Amino acid sequence: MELTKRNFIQIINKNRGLIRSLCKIYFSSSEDQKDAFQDIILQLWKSFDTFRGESEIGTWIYRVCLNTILGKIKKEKKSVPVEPIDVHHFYISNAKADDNTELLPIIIQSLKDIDKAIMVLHLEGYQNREIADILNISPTNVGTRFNRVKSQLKMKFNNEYHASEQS
Amino acid sequence: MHLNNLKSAWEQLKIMNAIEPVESYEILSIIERPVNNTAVRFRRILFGLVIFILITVICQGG
Repeated sequence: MELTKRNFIQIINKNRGLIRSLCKIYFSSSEDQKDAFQDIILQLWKSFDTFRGESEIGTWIYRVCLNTILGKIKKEKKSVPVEPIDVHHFYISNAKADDNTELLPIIIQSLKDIDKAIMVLHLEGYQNREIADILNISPTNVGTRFNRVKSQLKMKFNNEYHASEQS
Repeated sequence: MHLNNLKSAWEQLKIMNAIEPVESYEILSIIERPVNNTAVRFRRILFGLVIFILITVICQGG
């Protein structure tokens, strides 16, 4: 096997958790997740030659993954539907209050497609300017959207906290 | 709501989704899959045909 392919396989295996997590927060059926995973691998491979380590490998993977997913959604009109806020309150109040790992996918799935990407990139520690660069949108747009996401999450977490206090 | 709590939750989620390895043959089957070139080939044939017709028309004019 070529050295390039061997390196590529190593990179994919090292970042499989990240790629799978992104597929899961954007697509509900396992078939769509698998399909998105394959599309991402193919796009990463196509851009592997042009990746010369100018940006960090994580940034490159996020850029390709998110743009592939957002492009796929736009093309096929497929994604996890944004569920009404009340439905999520129901789920959140039934989940373990202190288990953020359980809550996080539910909360992220309640956001709009582009907001999901902004949220995840913030969780990875990227700044607004870097997120804007990855998603090809303006830093102002990122800032505005992230502030909106934060207030949405604050509201959801507060409701979840009160629900757990009452039970 | 602390964003730091969610940061660790995101890390945890990635770890959970990384439990199952991706086999080398799975990756190879994706990247070595033959690309469907039908559309590209059709466009090339069409372009060639247009050029051929143009040249024929121009040469007849002389």
